[in-house]
Amino acid sequence: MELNHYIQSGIIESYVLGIATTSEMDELQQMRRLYPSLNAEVMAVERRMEKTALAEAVLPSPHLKQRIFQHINWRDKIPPDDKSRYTFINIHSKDEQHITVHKWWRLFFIITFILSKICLFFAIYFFLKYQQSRERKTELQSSHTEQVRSPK
Amino acid sequence: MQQAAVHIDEYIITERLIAGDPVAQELVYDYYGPALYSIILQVVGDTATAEDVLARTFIHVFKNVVVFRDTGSATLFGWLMRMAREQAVKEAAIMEESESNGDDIMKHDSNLLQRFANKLPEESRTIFHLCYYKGLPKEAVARMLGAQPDEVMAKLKDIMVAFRKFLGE
Repeated sequence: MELNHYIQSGIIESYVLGIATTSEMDELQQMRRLYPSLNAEVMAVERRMEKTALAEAVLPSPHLKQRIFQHINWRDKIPPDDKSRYTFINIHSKDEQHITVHKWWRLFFIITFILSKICLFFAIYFFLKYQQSRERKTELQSSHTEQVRSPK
Repeated sequence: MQQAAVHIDEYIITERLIAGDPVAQELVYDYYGPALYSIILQVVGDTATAEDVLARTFIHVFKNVVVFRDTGSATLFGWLMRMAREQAVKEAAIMEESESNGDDIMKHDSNLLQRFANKLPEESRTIFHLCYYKGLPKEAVARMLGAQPDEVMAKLKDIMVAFRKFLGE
């Protein structure tokens, strides 16, 4: 029987021990799909290994259990995206030649600049108006003086 | 051993492990921890290192237990055993890089695999040692022994047939 020959080839033991190659493992997985009875064979080998391993067990140090579970509990207590636990530190060098101001100051400077331009325009406008009126006044004064002198 | 008498329902325990139930995690550690520690100890040969590897194995296992369910592994112990050996082989390779220990292929008959390995002829024992305890691929084993990869594959197949018989004894 082909299946029996496959089982007797030691492939299951090789897989159970973890020394089977990738192609052997793929082949075994395919065979397990084709012949579900192979699963019982794999299980039987693993159970035999388990029985012996449990009987030949060696106790590790009692502190080890505490160490493992402390590590697991510590890891589980930290949510992966909990940023509130972190402190952000600005590592940019302190440059005394520059200052940092609030963005509202930009608007303030633009308004101040526009107002100053309007004021400058009115200053020139009224200066020219004033000059014009002074010239007219001087003209009027000189014509009046001439009128007063002429009747003599 | 008293532990062997305790029955663990693997389906329920796996679902509870996936849910991150600490009681299930402790139960699995108490039940399988010593057996896995023994397997790791055979590979790394040092109690302190074996404890580190066991800790790493359980942390990895509890984090990735969903892989056990999704890959359709037959039994929980079978999967745990492969995980433990994989971690132990990695650690042993790192240890070997830092300190060159003499390869103690003939170890004590303290567990099943050693009893089996000690029964093998010398060449087969070396191949088994390099594949299982050192985790080397067949090509690397062939290079080390000055043989063809196919020869090593054939020898390893015979070793596994012998192991099947040994398990059935």
